[in-house]
Amino acid sequence: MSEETKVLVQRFIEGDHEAYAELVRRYKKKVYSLAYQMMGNHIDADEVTQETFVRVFEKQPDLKTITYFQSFLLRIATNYAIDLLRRKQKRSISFEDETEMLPSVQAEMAEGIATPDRNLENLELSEIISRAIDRLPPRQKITIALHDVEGYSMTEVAMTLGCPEATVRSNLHIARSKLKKWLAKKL
Amino acid sequence: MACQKIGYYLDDFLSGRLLPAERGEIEAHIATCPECKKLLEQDKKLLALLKFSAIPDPGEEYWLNLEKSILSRTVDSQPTTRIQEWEFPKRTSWRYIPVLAAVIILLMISISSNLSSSGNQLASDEKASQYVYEAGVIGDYYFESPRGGDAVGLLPDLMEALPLSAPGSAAYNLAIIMQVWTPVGGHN
Repeated sequence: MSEETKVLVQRFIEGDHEAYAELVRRYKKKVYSLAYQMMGNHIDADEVTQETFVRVFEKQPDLKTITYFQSFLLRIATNYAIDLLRRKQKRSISFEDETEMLPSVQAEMAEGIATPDRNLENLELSEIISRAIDRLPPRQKITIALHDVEGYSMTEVAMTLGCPEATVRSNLHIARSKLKKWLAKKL
Repeated sequence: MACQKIGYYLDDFLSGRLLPAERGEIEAHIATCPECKKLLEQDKKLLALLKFSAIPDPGEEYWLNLEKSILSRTVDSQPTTRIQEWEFPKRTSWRYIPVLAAVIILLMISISSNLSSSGNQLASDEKASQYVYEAGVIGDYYFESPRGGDAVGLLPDLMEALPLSAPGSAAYNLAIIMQVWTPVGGHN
């Protein structure tokens, strides 16, 4: 945790609401970005971001014991996002492998990959990748989002998820294998 | 090194986190194993592809509204007033002292005036000589009548003419403190 963040967190613990507002200003984009990677849409990402900061505010006394504010923050975000994903399970089904993928989704993905229009390629590619990530189970999804997309280290991901680095490594390996399979035509 | 183990350490290999000896071992394996070489290339491409999944920027207005919304649900929703517990007045109470002093002075003047008028009445009253002497308990007091002449009376009787002047009351004690009445130490 940077010295500035430490000071802000300490001031917030002591009841300085301006320090809390500054923490919101500094970390809102990181939380939103992660939330978007997890949820795949703006509305849910917005909900996750707001709830994360509200929960941090409510957990003010717990901040005395934390070492890394960012990991603490992202853990709250991921836990809320995972809960939200589970609540939305009927609408957003996670598939363990390609054979379980809905035929319509498979067709859509195949169609997207085959699109010849180069002007739309990046946009479509981004959408295809997001759809593929969205089909991962929550823990694998968050591991890919944090490590491969957002660029956090294995140690930071492990701290955020509250699990050993070996688990992160394993989840990453499994998630990548699935993505490579689903995105085979683009690799 | 087995192919399965290579797959497990590919991320460290790509991130440059392996020791030189471990890195050399993987490079040697990849050079001789087309499957693992393909796996490595796929991983490199996948990492490049994942960068395409960058989120769309919701815009500056959204960030401002998000911040406002969060603060309105947290900081701004906190109660701004709290129930005040009674505390012993501190420095600010000094400003009331002149007012209190004025009230005491007015009270003293009022008592003094009443006592004088009571004394006058007693001085002219023939019953004054019949007052029960209670020396040693309360004591008697000598005073001058404004109309001339001396009179002797017992304080309890004199104080009856005053409001709130029962022995032991505030006005009674105050009258003594004020020394409106001068004890003479005995009855003539």
